[in-house]
Amino acid sequence: MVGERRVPGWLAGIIGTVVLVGAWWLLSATAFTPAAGTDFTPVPSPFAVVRTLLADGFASYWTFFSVTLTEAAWGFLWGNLLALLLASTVLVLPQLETVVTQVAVVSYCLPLVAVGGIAIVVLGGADQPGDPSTTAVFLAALSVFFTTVVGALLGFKAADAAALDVVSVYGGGRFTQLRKVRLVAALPAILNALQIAVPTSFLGAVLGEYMGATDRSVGITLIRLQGNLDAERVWAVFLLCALVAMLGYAALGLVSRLLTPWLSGRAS
Amino acid sequence: MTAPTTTPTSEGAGARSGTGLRITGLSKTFKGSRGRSVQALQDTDLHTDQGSFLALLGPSGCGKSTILRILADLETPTTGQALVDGKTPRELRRDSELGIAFQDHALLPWRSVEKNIRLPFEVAGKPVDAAYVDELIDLVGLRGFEGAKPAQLSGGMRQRVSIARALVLKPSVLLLDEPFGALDDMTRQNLNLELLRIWTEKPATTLLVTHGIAEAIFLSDQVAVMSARPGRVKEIIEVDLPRPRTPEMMRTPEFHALVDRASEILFGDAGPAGGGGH
Repeated sequence: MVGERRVPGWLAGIIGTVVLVGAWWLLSATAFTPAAGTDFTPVPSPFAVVRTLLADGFASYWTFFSVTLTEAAWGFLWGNLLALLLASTVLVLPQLETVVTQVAVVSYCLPLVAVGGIAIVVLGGADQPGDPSTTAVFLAALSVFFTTVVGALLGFKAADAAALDVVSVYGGGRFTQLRKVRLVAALPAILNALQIAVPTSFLGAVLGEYMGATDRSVGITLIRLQGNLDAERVWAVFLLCALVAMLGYAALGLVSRLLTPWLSGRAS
Repeated sequence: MTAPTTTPTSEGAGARSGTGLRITGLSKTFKGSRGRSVQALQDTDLHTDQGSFLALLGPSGCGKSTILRILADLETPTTGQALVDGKTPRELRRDSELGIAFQDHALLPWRSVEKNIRLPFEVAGKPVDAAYVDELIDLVGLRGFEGAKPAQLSGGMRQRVSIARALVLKPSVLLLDEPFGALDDMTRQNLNLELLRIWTEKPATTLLVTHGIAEAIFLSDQVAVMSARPGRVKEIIEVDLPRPRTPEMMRTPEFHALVDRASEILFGDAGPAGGGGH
């Protein structure tokens, strides 16, 4: 071994993936073998899943993934926009902070499944096959709301008090403090929250699709495949979901690095 | 008894037209939690001449930073008045005549050294005097680091940047709140020498808050020794060492006599012999 040195991130990622896939393969080969006389297994081997995925072709999955991604994107946009707007009221009226936190906490405590049930009645789903479901967009927005409000509130408090004093001493008012110090100091925490919001919004969208009223989406596809006992395709969709969430998360991480270059190189 | 008012030699025109530091009857009470209030500063008087260097020396919690913050218009006094060159802190702030440096460098981590030094221009809404920024970078010895971010600098270098930033608007009043308090002794000694050199080149009425006895005496024209709880000025020591000051002076009997006197006022007779440096 290389003593106390830490494992680099990319290597840790590879090791983690290998261990996970290995465990999956082991389980599929030992615990979940098809019962005698059938060929159904709830946990197919990784190779079978990848074989199915490649045989179907990515295009056939893209037709419904694109719908869910659109929903997740709209939900991400609306949820975060509203969360940032709500959090920024604190900049104008600092006394509002407890109220804003309360609103965010309530939104977090709402059981998404119950809200989804109401939403499908009130908002409805997709108008036509291939359209994004309004309920899915709503649940995606709702699921990112809390973390972004909390992240932004943290960010708005992150500014160094002495730096604010310095701006004040040179004749700057609250607005100058906001422009020169507070907003930039808030960026790291906000970007962090947005990064977490990427996989969350996707999850929220899929959950919304489970409520029905959609013909082409990841959620409804999963329900159908489960009904058909098509375990290999269920796992293929699951794998693609994980991939999409990770790619989105990584993309936002990259954006954060570009927008807050002064943070890189500091303690991880 | 309040602090003796010292207006050395020039009781003439200068003093009467209100130049220099004029602090009269200054008190500050902070409202604490649950109705308790803390008196940080009690009935303080301090007078100095324009362009002189005054140190506020005292234990932590003696209100020395409160005086500085009142002069910076970051706090308002409960009673009394603070004027510099006949202007209130608010007027000084409005006219961008203040320069300030804290123990915490308070640099913006996303800005380079040069851009941090430019900040006061932007905040005050004045055109950036690029040539002067450049001159200050030389003066504080940061040539070659203009583009570096604060995270890439050592603690001492960050304080140099913050001193340069304090000077960039050519302030008539320089407020220094333990600017080198967080640094190691050697760096601190070096920076004190540099500060002296910089102050000679860019003179301003200066208020230094410190708890370093030797440092206070080495740098200042006057040292106001303060006591804690409630904060008040016990005595003002006139430092009659000649300028320019050199490190060798710190080994002279005159210097030691002044240090001894300051420690005696600070600690009473039971205080540690010699007082020590910090």
